[in-house]
Amino acid sequence: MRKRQRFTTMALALIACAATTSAAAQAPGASRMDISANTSNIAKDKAMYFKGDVRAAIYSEGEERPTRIQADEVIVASPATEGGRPDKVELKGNVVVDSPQAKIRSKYALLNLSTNSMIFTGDVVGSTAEISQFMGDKVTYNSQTGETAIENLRATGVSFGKNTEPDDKQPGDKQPGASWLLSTDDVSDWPLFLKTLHDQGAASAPSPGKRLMSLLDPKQRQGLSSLSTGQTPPPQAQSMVIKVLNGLLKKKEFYDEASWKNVTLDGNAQKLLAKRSGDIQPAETIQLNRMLLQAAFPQSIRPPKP
Amino acid sequence: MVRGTAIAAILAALAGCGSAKVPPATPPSGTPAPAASSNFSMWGSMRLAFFDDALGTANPKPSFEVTSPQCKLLGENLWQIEDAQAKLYGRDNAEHLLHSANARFDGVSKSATLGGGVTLETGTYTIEMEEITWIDSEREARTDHPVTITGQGMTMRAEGMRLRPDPGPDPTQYIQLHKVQGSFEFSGKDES
Repeated sequence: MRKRQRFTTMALALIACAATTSAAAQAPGASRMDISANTSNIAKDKAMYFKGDVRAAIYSEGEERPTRIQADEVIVASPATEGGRPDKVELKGNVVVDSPQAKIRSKYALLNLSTNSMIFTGDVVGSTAEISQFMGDKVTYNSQTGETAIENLRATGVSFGKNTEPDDKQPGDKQPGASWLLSTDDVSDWPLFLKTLHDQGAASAPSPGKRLMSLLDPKQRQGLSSLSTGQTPPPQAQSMVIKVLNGLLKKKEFYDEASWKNVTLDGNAQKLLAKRSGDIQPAETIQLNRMLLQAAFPQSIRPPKP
Repeated sequence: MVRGTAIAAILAALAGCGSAKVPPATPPSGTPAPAASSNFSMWGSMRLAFFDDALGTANPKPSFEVTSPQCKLLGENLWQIEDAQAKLYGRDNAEHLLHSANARFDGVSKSATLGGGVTLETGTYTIEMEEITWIDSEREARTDHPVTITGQGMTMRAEGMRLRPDPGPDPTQYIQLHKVQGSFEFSGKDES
């Protein structure tokens, strides 16, 4: 049970990595909050207490939409210094936070604007694009680093269906490249795949595994390296690995000549490879990279289904 | 009650010596008919105040005072004031400054209404509204007109406000806003 929890926590960390890497690179922080309520009291210490149908929207740079908030009571606290801007937002009772990354309900939440962290406590229930529902005693999320920590995590309904659609949808092509993206079933031998990836990544010589590891960001690399190579990871962790790999399959820089020099490629792969430096479509990039991956790990990655 | 009314009377007036003017033929609408002895206006540095009854007479301190270069006595202890500068005094010695285009000071009911556009400076907040009434017996300033509060990186609009300089055991009762909507700026340079 404890091990499962560790795996799932790691998996969620991978979710956070995958979901927030680009945003984190832009170092987002809450810049503004719009709020409305039936009443608001201002205390002498400058704290503001909003009550009754409290609705708020927090805007952060780089976010596609604001984080929407509902709670029975919202308290906005400012530092003691004169003119200091608010540094904490406290949410009490029937808290609902709907952010671009996750939707979380809890009894209490604290947004620390100095550290860009948000802590949820009290019957925390949430969902992300990948997990239909997770529960925990305490969830801490840092919007700047993308780090998520969940105490006593229980997760259900892990899904990766939404991630099989590439970003390059074109008219007349419902899911270009989608069939070339991986699912957890496409890894036929998880222990072997993870061991090969780990070994190649640790070796000094160029190899597909080393190339893949080099394309990951540090948190993704750390997450993959932390997986045991001797056993099949739990479904949640598998999904997260697949999500990370599918992210790599969309990259044009996936292929590196030195890394694949000892890998035999079939005619189709070579044709696409020749097209790579020219006018290659995003869907073709995914197709090529999937072929390159399958050729590099023939014992553990299945060929694409027709 | 007699003492309270007496205390609410004019504290000081006529520093620059007032001069009487012929009263208007008709008093301003909504005001009681002026007493015969009060049908005059004054110019000079006027200061009208209510005193905090809770402090007793040995150590009198004002709870509210208003100064003006021009005021008109409309009736018994009822003053019409132009260009009013007022102060609310908290028992913690905090001062809340108000400025308004006009005001009416009622020494009998111990209330004062500032109007014609009011600005209230309290701590780091600036509050703007059309009108506000100080009720001395309740030690509360209130308005049911829209207010705009700025300060501490915040701009907030509300449909009404209560301000208590001495909120008592519940410090959140300092300023109460009704039907509030606005925004906080979290980033950027502090205003201090």
